Amino acid sequence: MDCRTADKLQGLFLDNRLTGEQRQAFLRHVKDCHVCREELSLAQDISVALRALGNVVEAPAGFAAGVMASLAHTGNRRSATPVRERVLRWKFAAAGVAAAAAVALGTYSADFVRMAPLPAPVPVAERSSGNAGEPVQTVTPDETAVHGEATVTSRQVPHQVALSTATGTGKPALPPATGTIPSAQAETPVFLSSDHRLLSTVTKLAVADLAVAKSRALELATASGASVEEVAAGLDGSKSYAVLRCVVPPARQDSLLASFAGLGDVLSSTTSSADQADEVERLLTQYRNALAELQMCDDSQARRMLQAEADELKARVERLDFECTQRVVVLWLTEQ
Amino acid sequence: MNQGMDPLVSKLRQGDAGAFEALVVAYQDRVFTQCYHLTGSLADAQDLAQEVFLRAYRGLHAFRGDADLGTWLHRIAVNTYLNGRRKYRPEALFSLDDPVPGTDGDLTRQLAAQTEDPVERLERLEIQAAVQEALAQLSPDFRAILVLREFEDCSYEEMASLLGCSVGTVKSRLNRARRALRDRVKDIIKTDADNRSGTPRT
Repeated sequence: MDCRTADKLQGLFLDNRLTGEQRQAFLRHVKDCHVCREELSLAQDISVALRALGNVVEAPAGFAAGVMASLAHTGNRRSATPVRERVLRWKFAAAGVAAAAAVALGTYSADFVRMAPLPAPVPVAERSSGNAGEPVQTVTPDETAVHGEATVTSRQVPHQVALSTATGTGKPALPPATGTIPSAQAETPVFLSSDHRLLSTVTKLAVADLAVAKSRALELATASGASVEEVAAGLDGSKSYAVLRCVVPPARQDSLLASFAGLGDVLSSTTSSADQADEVERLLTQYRNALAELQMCDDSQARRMLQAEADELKARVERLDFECTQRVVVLWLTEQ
Repeated sequence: MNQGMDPLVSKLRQGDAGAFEALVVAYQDRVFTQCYHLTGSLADAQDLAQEVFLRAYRGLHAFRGDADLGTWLHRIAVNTYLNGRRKYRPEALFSLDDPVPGTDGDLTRQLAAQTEDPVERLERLEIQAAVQEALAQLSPDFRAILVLREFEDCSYEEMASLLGCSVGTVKSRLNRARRALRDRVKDIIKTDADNRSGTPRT
């Protein structure tokens, strides 16, 4: 056997897929050839290293709930669900995923600080309806105004403005969920934020009664015009905690922080600024690629998937852009 | 397993949401692990796993009752990953420093707890780090097949079924993937060694 053949058979040897005869010949060669012996030894080490990397990972808490919430939403998409109920479902779905993400990221509380500058997880409701290749269900600003849902209203703003194109047709720049759209139309979005820096403050509070503090915090946040999501809740050792993520207009950040401080003892408060320009660029590139691929694609199922991907990317860029014009306040409440 | 799942499948097909929730709960860890292996990051695994279950829900009518639900979900995961690959950032692949939630605790702790010769351990960690880095540089096709073989311990036949190709294609792709990985690992180890030996002289 020559080295070339031995190299070809090496993987099959490792996987125990050689015949008895091939195996003998392979081993004879390796015994005599130190180059192939070293190659085999390295291949075995790599295989061991790979297997060590492949641990079992548990799905984060709240994962199944997030999936079910998202299904509940998409399953009722066509029915005439009252607006208010749709809004609540949307929030539930978003909170489910966000909570799971927060648990995944915040296994150690020290790591939590890293979470703050990250863009919020894409609400499942939007993503999943996009996956089905159908128009993303959103609540119009008028509807939200009627119901006073600050959460949704804040997300509508970038929808209307952020990705309007420089071509200025007055229509949203993004393609309808079906049909082809010239990709150039989506290539020059007008952003709300000029520099894409995300300013966030993480405030950790010790409170006497978690439920009371949380509901008070939600009231305060809503009153200050912030959109607020509960992104995590659970037990840290023996203490229960809840984490709220608020996106608040800059002018109201200080008053919101001051009112939060009144809810308990401030353990720490850290403000940081994260440059999101690369992330915006990355998402935009992916978005353009998806649109370009969509234009070249004939298969209807693949088109639906690409459209869903484009819709999701669009939503993520818009959200990130919008949040860069706001202030992110993450309130971590721990029961004393 | 098949037989045990059959009533679940028929309930699922009748649109029983409770049955689907039971499916998600039963398979979430398995699917999440597969997604983590494929994407290499917990955040991406979460997105992918979510998508897998949503697709499964929509594709229930296409599921053949005689197939294994786990295999079916695994196939959806692999296809979704390969089709949506641009979404996942390869640089996010497996950081040893990141805590990995799971029954075994994080990787770092797990590695530290093992009792072995310190020199051997160092070498092993060095190779492991190089393998991680090299794996992140591979194309998704190569990464997927290595993950299926080494992480999930799939047979050649299972891989062929999951990837929708012949066993012959599996063999040749796996061989090329292994060679690509090995070459990169060698480069990385050599670069590291050069850097170390270069430091004292400067």
